[in-house]
Amino acid sequence: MWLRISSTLRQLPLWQLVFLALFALIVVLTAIGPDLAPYSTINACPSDRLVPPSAAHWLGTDDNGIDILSRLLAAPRTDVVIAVIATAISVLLGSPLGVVIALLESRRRGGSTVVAEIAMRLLEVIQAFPVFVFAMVLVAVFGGTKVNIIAAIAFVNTPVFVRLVRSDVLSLVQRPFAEAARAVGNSEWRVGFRHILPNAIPTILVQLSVTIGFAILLTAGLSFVGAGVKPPTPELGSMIASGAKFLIIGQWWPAVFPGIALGLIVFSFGVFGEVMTKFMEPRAIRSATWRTGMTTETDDAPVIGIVAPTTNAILAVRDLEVTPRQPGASPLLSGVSFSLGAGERMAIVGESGAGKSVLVKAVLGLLPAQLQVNSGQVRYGEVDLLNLDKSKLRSLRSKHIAATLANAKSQLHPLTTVGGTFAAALAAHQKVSAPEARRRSIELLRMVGMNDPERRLEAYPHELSGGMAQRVCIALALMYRPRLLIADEPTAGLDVTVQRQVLDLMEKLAREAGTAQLIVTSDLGIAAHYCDKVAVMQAGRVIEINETRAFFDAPVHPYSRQLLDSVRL
Amino acid sequence: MFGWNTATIGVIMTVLLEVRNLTKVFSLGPGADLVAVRNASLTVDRGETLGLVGESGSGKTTLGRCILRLIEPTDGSVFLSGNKITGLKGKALRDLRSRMQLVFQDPFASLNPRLTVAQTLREPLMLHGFDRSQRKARTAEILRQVGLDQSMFDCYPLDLTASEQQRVGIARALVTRPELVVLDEPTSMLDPSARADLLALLQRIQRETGTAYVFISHDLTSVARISHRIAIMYLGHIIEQAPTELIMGRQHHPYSRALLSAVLFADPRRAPSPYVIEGEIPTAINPKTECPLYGRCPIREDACGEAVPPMIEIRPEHLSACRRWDYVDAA
Amino acid sequence: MSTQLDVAASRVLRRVRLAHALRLPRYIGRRILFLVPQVLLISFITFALVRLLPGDPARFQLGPLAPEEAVEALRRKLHLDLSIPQQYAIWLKHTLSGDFGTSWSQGTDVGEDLLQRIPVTLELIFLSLLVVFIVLVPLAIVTASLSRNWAVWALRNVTFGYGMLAGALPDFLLALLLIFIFYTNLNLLPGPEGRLGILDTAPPFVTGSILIDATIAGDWSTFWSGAWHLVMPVFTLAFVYGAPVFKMLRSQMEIALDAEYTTYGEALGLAPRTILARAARVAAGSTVVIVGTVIMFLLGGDVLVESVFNMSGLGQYAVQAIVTADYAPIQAFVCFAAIFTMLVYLAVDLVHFAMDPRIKVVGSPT
Repeated sequence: MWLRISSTLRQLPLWQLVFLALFALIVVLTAIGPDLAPYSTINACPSDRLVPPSAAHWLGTDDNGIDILSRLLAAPRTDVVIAVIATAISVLLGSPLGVVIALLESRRRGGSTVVAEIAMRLLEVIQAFPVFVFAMVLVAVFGGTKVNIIAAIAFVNTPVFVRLVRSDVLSLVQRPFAEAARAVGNSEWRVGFRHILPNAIPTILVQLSVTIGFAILLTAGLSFVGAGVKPPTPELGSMIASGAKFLIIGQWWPAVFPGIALGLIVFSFGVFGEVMTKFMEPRAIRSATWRTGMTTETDDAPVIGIVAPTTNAILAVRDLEVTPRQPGASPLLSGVSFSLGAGERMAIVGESGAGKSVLVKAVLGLLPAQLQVNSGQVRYGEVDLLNLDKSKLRSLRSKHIAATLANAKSQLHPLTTVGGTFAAALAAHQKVSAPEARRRSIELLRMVGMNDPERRLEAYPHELSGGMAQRVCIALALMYRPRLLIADEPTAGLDVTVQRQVLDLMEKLAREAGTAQLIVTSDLGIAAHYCDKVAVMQAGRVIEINETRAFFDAPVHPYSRQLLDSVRL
Repeated sequence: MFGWNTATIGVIMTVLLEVRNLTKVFSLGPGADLVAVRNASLTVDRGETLGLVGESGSGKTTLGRCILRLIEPTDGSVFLSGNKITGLKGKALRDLRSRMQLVFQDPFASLNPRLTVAQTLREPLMLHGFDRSQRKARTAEILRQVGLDQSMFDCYPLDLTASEQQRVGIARALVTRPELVVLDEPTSMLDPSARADLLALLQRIQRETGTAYVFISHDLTSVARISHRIAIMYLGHIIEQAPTELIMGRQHHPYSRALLSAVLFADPRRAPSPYVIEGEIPTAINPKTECPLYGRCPIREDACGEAVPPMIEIRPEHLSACRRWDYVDAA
Repeated sequence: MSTQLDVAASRVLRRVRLAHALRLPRYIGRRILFLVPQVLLISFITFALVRLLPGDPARFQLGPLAPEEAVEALRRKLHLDLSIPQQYAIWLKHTLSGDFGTSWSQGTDVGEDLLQRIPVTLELIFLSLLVVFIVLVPLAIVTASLSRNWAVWALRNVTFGYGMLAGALPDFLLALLLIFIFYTNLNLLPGPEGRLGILDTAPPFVTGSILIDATIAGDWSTFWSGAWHLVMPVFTLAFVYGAPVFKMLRSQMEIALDAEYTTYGEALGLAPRTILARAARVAAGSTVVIVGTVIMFLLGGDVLVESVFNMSGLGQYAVQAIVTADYAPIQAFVCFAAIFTMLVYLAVDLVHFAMDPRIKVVGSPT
């Protein structure tokens, strides 16, 4: 427990720590603030009216002669206590209600959904009341005691939590662990409260800190218009109100100091909320290296197999090293070298975490911001890709070097139709009219074996099956008959029969257009039948490269042997 | 009774699960019915593994869930050890859960990220009335059985590798000593090496405890390794059912043949056979009354498009839903 | 020729498919149907609550010195002796025929008051939203990218501070501070004297909005006076209530820019501007939902800002009415605000639904 607290704290930027300390201070003040006040907080002292900040009164006095610093030390108690209790009530009432409504809704049975819908409409009614005015009316009707203010704020905030929890539960209830909880024998309600609600807690916490801040502001606002906490109780909003008239004529201290205090308090709560969320995230206790499955002894032995560069290589990679930007982090790729000639197809195999996708991104120049190429060379023909100017690199893309990345459906922009994506891809490199773009798109879709291409153009990515989406991506890659095609897991998630069709298509490409292909896959079957060379990666290094037949007949590196043994029947 | 001999009685004793004419239809709105499973019948013997193979949209996942009553079948019945379980409700249904369990596809997502391994394993025992000392003993025992170290009791799912997480999922399924475990694509999200280990583990557990499995997967090679019998599904129909060696040797349905020929072995010398079905699986919404493969079948004839072909017993234990089952090789 | 026909046909087909599959008209009809009982419920709750406000309106109207019988007579005239449901029925009848009652503290007809004051509030809210869209939205989009451009980097830091600050500062405080700095000290902007200065004359009433009416009347000096008086209130509202929009848009942009389709877009060779625009479209979805909430906040926060700046808008009207237990204005304000809120929610749900083809049922979380 303490380990988690200290590790969370260590990760925080300095300013957050400062405000966290301020938060702690505020909590202390809430408890003992009034006792720390040097002067009385409520006894008027007319002779000392509106004294500017001075040695005797550090923050000056207000129009009743009361020391502002003293009142400021006492005021947090009022505001914070009201806000915290009100918010706590909202959470404790709203969250279970949200769970109940969500569970009723997900039953998908007539009666329950009607009840849920009525509940939601009632909530809308409550939320439709303008918050501030509603709170004012409630307070005016039932009296301005602290209890009533708390009730009013709790009432207006409860729907927020109901909605939030309902939305969270609705999405969590579809996750496998919720189904598993049912499969194990939990009743529906136990699943909701014992399993799902605890997982909604992080969302609740974030909202909690926001709501407390809002509640503090609401309390202050209510008091500001005279509908909240009544004087002489020290409260920040009413202090600002009584100071307002003097602010305009130049006596700024009765209003500004409480204002600053108010802002700081709300802000600290916000920071506390963010820190709590970070703390509550389920995090690994052990470090990442523990988690790789197979043996990870990497040695510095030289790569086994063909390393010598092919003459006239389309793609030549030399000693590529990629590391995260933070200093001292271990490299994700090191010493990677290989080359690819025209029409050659090479498979990059390895287990997850070996660095295959990082390699693809590095070659394409698409590394995420937190990674960088430390050293090495990537050449496309004679062109040095790593040091190429951005716009030149962009013009190479798609026309010369095309790529399909893993998981075709999420590659396509969710709000653009297939036709729209084609048009955008075409327009990026040349001017085409809309009918012309459409004609070419249909032609490309037909080429990749999609039936009814005209209709497919109108489809959105989520309406396509995995196989169709992958074919769309391949069609996009073929648009300009590239000389190099990089495919990251082109068949992952596809049905076996569709897999074969996609692979056969790629093979046809290589034969007819002489496209060199770099195929990343964890399926050795694909390597065996669709590739001329195989490169094995482990922990960021290429440990063996060989021609396919030679590799499968006699793998040299022990890891390669391990890999092959595990897939042989 | 008349007509029953000892052989029949023996068979009845060994049948653990029987599914009869199970159908599941999802209503997507007026006039749009998704027939996920249609008229499926199968049996699983005690201590054996039935492999349920199919591609996406075949209905295998839905069938698995219907067997466990996690989804309610629209029609048909399921029997466990001769008792009809499709009518049960409420507490009786929840008690049933100690006898049949499920292992999920996504190892991480199937575990509650906020519960430790110990809490996850204890919960089924608590729900089914085991007392504290029984729980302690049983959770320790099952953890050992799945090959995990006792130190993992206090780990959270995020601390474990995918393979370890899946072992916990298996342990959770086995902790109440169920008679049947349905495994829904348990290895598809694991790396090939972890896959092999997990299959070996499952086989070992079956030998030790006699639990029956329904192993659902799209990967024919994994299924063949672990199953005694295989049932192949397409578009909600079971189209062929036979002991593993028979199906792997020679198929009697065009789809089975296509499925097997589509497999790429990790051996360049075993060239993939050229016989592959073109196109994609059609929609299961408002299907026509015809053979489900009709649109894509290379050996279809007119009669195939007029009615759903019935399951024919080609030889004992080998069923096929193709009228032209003996012409499958000829294509 | 044929391709044009194809394109047109498929567009119509898509719209028809959309409307059919999503049963849009039926859905809107259902929501509006629900609206009626919801509004009735709101008005009844308000009515009941307001009737519980302390203070005797009859006594209040006639003053402390009036004789008891006169107060009784007035009470009877105002139906205050009937039960609450009965009073409500009378009120409903009046309201549905357009009579919103009379304000006791002002002696004015509430309907006319509303007509004068609603445009003021709407003008404030509209201008604030305009500022949010013109300034904050582009800022959020641009600062979301991790480009190494130094200008972007500087803006990122500044707006980071803004996001933090704006959430913590109460609107009335900001208003006061602005007045203190720009009026009291620098004398650059007019003080909290309302929509126009003491010496200005209001333009003839057409829409109720100072800016529009002054333009229509060609009265440019009034126009500018009105504009200067609006600077601080609009800035306050935009600054404070634009923050949630800003934060949501930026975080959604960051998520979108991090997504796989952005990387793929780069792989296709799309220009950086195209990629930013595509990401913005995805980010816009959740932002629209937040905008709806913010409009609600604006209606609420506007109340305080109007009071501080004396803008004679609806919010200030409501606050005064509560403090003086003036039933009719409160009732009218709450009903108006509530209906406005529900319509905004409905509009937001519909816009979100139209923007995102993945949503199948309007109003469901994606």
